[in-house]
Amino acid sequence: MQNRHTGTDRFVVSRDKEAVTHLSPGLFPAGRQSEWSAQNRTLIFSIHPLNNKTALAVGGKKTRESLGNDTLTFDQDQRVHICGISTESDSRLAFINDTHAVFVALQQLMEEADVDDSTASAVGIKGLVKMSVLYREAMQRQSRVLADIGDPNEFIKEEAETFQAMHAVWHLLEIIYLTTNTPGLSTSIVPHFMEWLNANFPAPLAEDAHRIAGGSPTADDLARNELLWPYLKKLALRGHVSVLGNMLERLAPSQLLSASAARWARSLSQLCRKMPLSSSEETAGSFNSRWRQWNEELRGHATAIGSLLGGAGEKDESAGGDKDKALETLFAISEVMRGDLDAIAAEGEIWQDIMGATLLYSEPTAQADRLPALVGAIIEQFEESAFTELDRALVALLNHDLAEFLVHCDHIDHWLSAHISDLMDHISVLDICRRVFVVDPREHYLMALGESYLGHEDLWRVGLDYLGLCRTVAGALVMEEYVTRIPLDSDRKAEQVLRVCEVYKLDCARDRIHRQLGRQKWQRGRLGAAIAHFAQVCDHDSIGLICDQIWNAYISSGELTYGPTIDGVMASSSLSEGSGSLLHHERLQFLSKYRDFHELYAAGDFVEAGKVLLSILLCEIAPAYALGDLLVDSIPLLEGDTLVFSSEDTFELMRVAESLAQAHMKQSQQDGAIDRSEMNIFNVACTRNLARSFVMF
Amino acid sequence: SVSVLNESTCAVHSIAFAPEYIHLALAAASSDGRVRFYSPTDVIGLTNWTASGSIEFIPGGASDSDGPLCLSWCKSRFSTKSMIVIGGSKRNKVKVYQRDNVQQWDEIYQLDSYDAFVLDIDWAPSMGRSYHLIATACSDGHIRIYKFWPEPTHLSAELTDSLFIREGDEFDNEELGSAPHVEADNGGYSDESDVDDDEDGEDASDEGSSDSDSDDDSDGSTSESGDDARPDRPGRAKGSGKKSKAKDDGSAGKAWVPRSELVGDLIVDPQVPIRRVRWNSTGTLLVSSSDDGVARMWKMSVNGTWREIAAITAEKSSAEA
Repeated sequence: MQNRHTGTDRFVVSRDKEAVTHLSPGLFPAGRQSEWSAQNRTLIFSIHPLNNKTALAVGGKKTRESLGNDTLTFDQDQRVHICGISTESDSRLAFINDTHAVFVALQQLMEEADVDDSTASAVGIKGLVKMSVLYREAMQRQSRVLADIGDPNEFIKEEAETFQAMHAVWHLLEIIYLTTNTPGLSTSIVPHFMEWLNANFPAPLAEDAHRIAGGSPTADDLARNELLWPYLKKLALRGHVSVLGNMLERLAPSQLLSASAARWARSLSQLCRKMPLSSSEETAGSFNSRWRQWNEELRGHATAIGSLLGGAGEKDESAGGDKDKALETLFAISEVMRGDLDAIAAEGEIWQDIMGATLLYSEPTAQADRLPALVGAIIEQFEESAFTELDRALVALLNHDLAEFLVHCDHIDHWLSAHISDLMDHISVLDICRRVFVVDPREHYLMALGESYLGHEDLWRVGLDYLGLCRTVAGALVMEEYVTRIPLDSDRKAEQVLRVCEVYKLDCARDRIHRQLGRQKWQRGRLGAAIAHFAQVCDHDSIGLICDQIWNAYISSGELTYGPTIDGVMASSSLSEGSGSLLHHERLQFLSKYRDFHELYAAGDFVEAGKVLLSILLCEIAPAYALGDLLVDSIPLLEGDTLVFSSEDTFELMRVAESLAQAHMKQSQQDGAIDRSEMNIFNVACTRNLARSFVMF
Repeated sequence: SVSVLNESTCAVHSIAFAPEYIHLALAAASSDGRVRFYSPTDVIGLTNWTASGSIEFIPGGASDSDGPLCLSWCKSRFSTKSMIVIGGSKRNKVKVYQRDNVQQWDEIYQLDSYDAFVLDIDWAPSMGRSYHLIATACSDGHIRIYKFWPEPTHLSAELTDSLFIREGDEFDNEELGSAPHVEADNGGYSDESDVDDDEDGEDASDEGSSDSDSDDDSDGSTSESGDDARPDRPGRAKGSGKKSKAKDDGSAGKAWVPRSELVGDLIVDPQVPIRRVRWNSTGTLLVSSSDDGVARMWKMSVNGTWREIAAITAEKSSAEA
């Protein structure tokens, strides 16, 4: 069978498989797997639809019937264990929420930029830089929070490392692809690289600086301090040239230095101050000539100090090591600063040191495209197997090998790979990776991140957003699948879920959720709310059934208590659109009018009540089973002292009664049947009313 | 119990309800080599179920000693016809069947055949992917994952995902959606592909296409006239037609042949049979359990390889008493 993965196997970094998790309490003793399996046992499981938790239990292999009756069963066989991959820890909650907000804002920004083509690129880059900075600030905040935790445990320490790594990676990407592309700024990467280097891998450390230079030591104190020399060299390596100049100036008067050392210290200090700094106003040509001049002077210094060292070798053996040390240090500093690659390689501790100094001192105007060549040469000097994921990610990024970069980012943290692939997509550098990977990396990482948040009770909304903002078909379908499975624990949560459906136009899911909620509330007796939900999905049948239930409740109890319910439903429907059909639902209208009738009757306004009752019958909104009751209700009005119904009205009533009777004769159903006796009373009442009405009119 | 269905004479190892998009139906795979389908006559009371078709997976029948049969429905909403994948028993083959009408199922593709028992099989929910994923669990300790294309995909920009080709792949994007031009009198390769290698499909298609090419050249006319039996597939991929032969869609009318590709072969321990594989609700996670009491979770990485991301063992840890 052909191995189809040869193109991408180089991305498979072999990592130690994470330790196997043991069920607790376990199901069989350690090392006795084959025994357990031979006793017709195996492990079976089922997966939770939302958060990928798994329920595990013991299963059998042969059918029960084929085994003898003497098979043993154990307690462990009856147990079901529920396990899950751990979700995000609470310490990250604030970070996740903050960066989620930035993510959403970024998507919106890019959408708007797309629409308006003319300013797209300009707005785009600036906007992206702004967003990138916001992300970094969030990472820095989290780093500070983690650092503030006193007595950190293993997990916190790892988290702190992770966030530092994420920040370093993000910052470098920002520099290479965004900052140097910002219109108006110079495109040399060197100053930004040094800024990145010193921000993320600070050296010398602040405490070292304090130990050496704190407390205003005298020149002699400085010269005596063994730690001074590596400190000075580090300053030079990292481009802290003005501090270096100051230190040399303070050191120079020391009596412990030889005359030549003091002289050269002063001279170097002068040179430090004269170091040319690039600015956007200066032309490249002018800067280059200044640089060459400065470099020449340094070369002169280095040669002179070097010859001093070479010549003074035999003489100064008896003298203290300090003089040698001072001169050696000055020699090393001047070699480094004139861009001598060997000197730089000798002084650098980490590869980033060497990279920075090489850029700063030998190629001060380098552009981003010089990076791969430089980093290749530097990495060769290091043992690659000792590299961390962070190192590999940074090297891949400097090599412009974005596919490999993404893979290592994923190993650092899933948050990183998701967000950085999104940023890369907006910068338009992700397409290269798309040709290399089997799946779209942005979609793959965003979906993985979103899915991992869904099971978390506070992050499910964030997870759904990540799925929705993938903007691919698969993302939308996965989202629709999951959104219907979010447990609707409370009204508020249900509202939030429905809002998600509206925002992302998941109509199918929205309908399902409304039906589910409608049924839930119906069962709990919240009939008005249930009707509102069914109205959203235009489920007339269910609304009809609920109305029937309301009517039956009234009939059996004799008290009309559904008034507020109906009012609530009608009021809410008039506010929300889309359920306009609600207002036209026959049963609801019927119930509403019937309630009006009751109220008028109770208030003694018989004429109006009669009008309402008649309109119910004329509009034919009454359901069949209620007709009889309506006619019975009309009896007191017919018999009453005031004339309520005119002759035509009475004829109407009689017609309804007639058609009711005929319907009963045709079918055997007794829907809305009235007692014979009641029918008789009704007929008599009608006749009397007719008589009256003729007289009156 | 509501109802008892006892047409089968041997042990029933695998049952599954049809996905909710299809009407209520139950499929039951029994060791006598048949898969029987049942539907209820009364959807509310569910007391009476009738047999509504069956698949004779092993012609001539089988018995309990030949091994279990397992099955899994295709859960995709977007397939034109229902599909089911069945595996196991004699000869240990895995085949895909498609329902033509209510009672009739036809074999459309043989996914693979093994030297070991097929113990479990699961069809992943498709979630908008342009391909289907099927996983099989075998007694030789292998979990095999296949991509499966039963129908030509419509290569509109929105629907392609995961069609990004790796370096060194012989097809380009457009090729994936087009039919290999084959004289497909049979609906699939059920007779020919008795070997594991999925590339047989491609070889045969190459042979077929050269035949069809010569036919077309000699005819000099579109081949649609003789092709009433084979439906003209609408919505062909843009630029379809083999890249080596510059044809236009005038030669449409050749039936599309399903194809598959083995994309993951995960071995735990060759001595330990894998009893159960299941996909999660979106097809992004595969969980397997085996006789050594370990449940493993597998995920696909961005470069297409499947890796174990977690393992849970029922064994007591050595720390436990």
